[in-house]
Amino acid sequence: MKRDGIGTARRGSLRGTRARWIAVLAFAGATGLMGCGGESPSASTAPPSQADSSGASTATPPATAASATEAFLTSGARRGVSADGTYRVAWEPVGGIFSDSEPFAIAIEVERVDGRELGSDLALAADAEMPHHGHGMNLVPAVKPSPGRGRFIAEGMLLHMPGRWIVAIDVEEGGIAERAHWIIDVE
Amino acid sequence: MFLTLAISTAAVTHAVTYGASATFDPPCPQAAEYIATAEELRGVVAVAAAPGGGGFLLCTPEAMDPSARVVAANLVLAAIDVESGEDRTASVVQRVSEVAQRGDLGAPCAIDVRADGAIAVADASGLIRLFESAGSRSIGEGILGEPSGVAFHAKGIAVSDRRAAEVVLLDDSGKVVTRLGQGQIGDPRGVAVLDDGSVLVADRLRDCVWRFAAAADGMPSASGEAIGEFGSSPGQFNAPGDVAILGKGAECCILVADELNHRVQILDANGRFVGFFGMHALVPRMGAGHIHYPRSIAISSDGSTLVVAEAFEDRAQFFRLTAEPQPPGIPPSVELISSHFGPEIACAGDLLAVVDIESEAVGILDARTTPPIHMTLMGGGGASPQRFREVSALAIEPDRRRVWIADRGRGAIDVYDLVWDPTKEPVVDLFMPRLARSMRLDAFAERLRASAATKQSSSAPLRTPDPADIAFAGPDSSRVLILDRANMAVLSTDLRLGAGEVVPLPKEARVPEEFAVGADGRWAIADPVAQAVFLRAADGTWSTLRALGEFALIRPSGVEFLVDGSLVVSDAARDAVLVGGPSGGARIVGGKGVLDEQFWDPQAITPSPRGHLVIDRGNHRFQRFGDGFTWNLTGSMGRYFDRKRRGSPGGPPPLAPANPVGSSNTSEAGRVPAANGGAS
Repeated sequence: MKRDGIGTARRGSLRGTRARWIAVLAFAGATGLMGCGGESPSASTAPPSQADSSGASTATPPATAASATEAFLTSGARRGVSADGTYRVAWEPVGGIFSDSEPFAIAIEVERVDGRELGSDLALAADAEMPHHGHGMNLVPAVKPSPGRGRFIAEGMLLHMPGRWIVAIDVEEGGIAERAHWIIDVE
Repeated sequence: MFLTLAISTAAVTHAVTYGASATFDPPCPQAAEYIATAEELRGVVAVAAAPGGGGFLLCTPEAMDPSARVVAANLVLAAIDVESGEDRTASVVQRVSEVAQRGDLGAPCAIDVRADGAIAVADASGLIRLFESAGSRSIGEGILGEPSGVAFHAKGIAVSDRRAAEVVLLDDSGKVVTRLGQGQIGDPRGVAVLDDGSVLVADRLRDCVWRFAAAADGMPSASGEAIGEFGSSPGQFNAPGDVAILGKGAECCILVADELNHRVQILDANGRFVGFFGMHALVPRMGAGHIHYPRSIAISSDGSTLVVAEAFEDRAQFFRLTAEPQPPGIPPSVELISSHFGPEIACAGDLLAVVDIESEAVGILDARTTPPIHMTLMGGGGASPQRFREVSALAIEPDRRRVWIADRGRGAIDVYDLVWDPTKEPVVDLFMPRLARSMRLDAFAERLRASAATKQSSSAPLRTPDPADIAFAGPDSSRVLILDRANMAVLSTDLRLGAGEVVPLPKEARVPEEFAVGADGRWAIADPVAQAVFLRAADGTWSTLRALGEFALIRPSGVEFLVDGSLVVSDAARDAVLVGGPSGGARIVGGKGVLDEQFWDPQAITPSPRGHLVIDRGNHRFQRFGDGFTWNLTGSMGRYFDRKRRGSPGGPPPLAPANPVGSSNTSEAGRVPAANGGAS
């Protein structure tokens, strides 16, 4: 079992570290199709401890995390706010269920809490790890943009053993990656 | 079945025997046999084969007289008798004879010897010192930032420059011939030159050896090819620090000091693994072939003998290169944090953070208790935001309990939330740390460049910052102060590394390492190469402190303010801590040793609820000093002493036979098994 949960991104790799698992999005052009729309962001600048987006039992979206992109995600999506309160992030497995032994994809939506447009240099990364076991996934998810503003698909998620996982989504703009995370119990 | 081959060097042909399993081509030794140890070489940083086959030159950062006053940087000649008898240790002509009082060597960190006997010494303060038959001179001033390796080349001298992250080839007059590895190299260290002009350099940060192949005219290519990668398996490296060449041409062998794997690896001319030697020492002070943090290596001119400088252990070990592979030993293995403390430590309020340099993990402890209770761990080697490649700075936001970790390998600062209820009993909780954000330092540099508020006086372009330390200041600790080695400045910015101010360090600064901010707004920066602590008053004026009371600062490695505003400075050369007083005097605490209130390479200092903590790096532990800077705890991860052990200064007397460590602060400590709490 790999100790490093992000697969090939080993210490000392001479290749680009994040380039292998971050999709850098060129929003120019594509974003013109989408408006910010939807609910105006609420004052969801949660303190760090509350920015922990879920907790093991948190499947209920926070009241402030509703999104304009309901069509992309269902009401069962996990929702939360990134650690510094900059982004509202939601995700769910494509097809609605986890596979505990097969790779699966997740659909992700991101928007800024302050209502501003996402930056053209926005990059997204998805990861999962098991702190109790000191490892992560055996695959490196590939994050790709999906039609629609702030929408992405991360393929290659694999929670390969039972136990408590942290699923993390990093939203990067301007060289600052802010993390939202959820605790997931896999039985 | 064995066959006999010969390795020819310039001077001597040395017969070696290879086992039947040795199918390597070209032939290289597969391991080495321990011969002897030269001890009491404080901080020995560099070795080279002496001219004319007369043993080895070893370089120490400073020589001190018996009263611990620095005399000068030191260059010594080690002469050994490799014809060992039954008793290896007894057969050694052990002691090094001091030969070269060649003047002040500055802050030496690497040496090389040319065939004609000329000696080049890389001075970390920014130049190369040359000692030739015609006299001595310096080159490279104003060109080199922080030299870290040196090797003679047919075109001049190849020099590693850590600050510029490149190798510079200077001609004999000191002019730049070419620059190698720009944009490739992370942290260049030891350099070696092949006879065709190709240049090899160990890259401690990228965990590889770069080869800059030479063209037909002997000029090395500006772009290199990496040999090796991170890991502990054969052919992989963990922080390689030096490289040496055995033999010539296509049949040469490459030897690499693989520092954090605690071994020397042998590669063939194509970079393929051949063998290794140097089983990891299990505790500090273990030797006799057990290698602990090899810093520099050199091969004798006859190709038979290799010397390994271990600055961590203040010693050099000698080996005879052999054909037989080393029998399987204990492989390098790091399981969670195990007290391989790096120089960094941080504490704020009730939390303490320490870094383990071998696992690249940061441990979090509850600092309110005796002993501090280890609660969680974050990191481990890796390249994603929650993994570290080389932790260079630690800090804790006082108000929000967020942990800041600068990773110079990834070029980023990670900020962690700690999900912790301090009103509850501390428990181990690996879910406690949650990465909040990761901030790329190159993007920060862009914001600084674009900032109208940038006040950097130097015209030099702003490099990507290389944090050596982090502190917080201002109301609600809302300002971040980053001690930046790349730009020799303190970067004052906000909590998201937005635009900020670049405050240049004094021109005398060389390699700033530790940073403290006083309650009155003063800054203190320890610089072991400049042999000074730089003080900045609240009004922005700088002053230079070269002594604390009557004690000169020799290798200041840590600094902190006491409650009364006095300074406390750890001095790695003295193996002690200098404690200032409000009246301007100072006293010395500690001395070389392994017991309580003794140190071996003390580093960073941080205040904590129960006293100041000092990283005692060479003993793999920290020590804590309470009111009046009196000792109250020695601890590593999982083992603590809050009463002094026998033989410690001020402790109960040693049982007979007397423990030499307890009665001496200098001479015999290296021969005594470690009595500290931590395993190596």
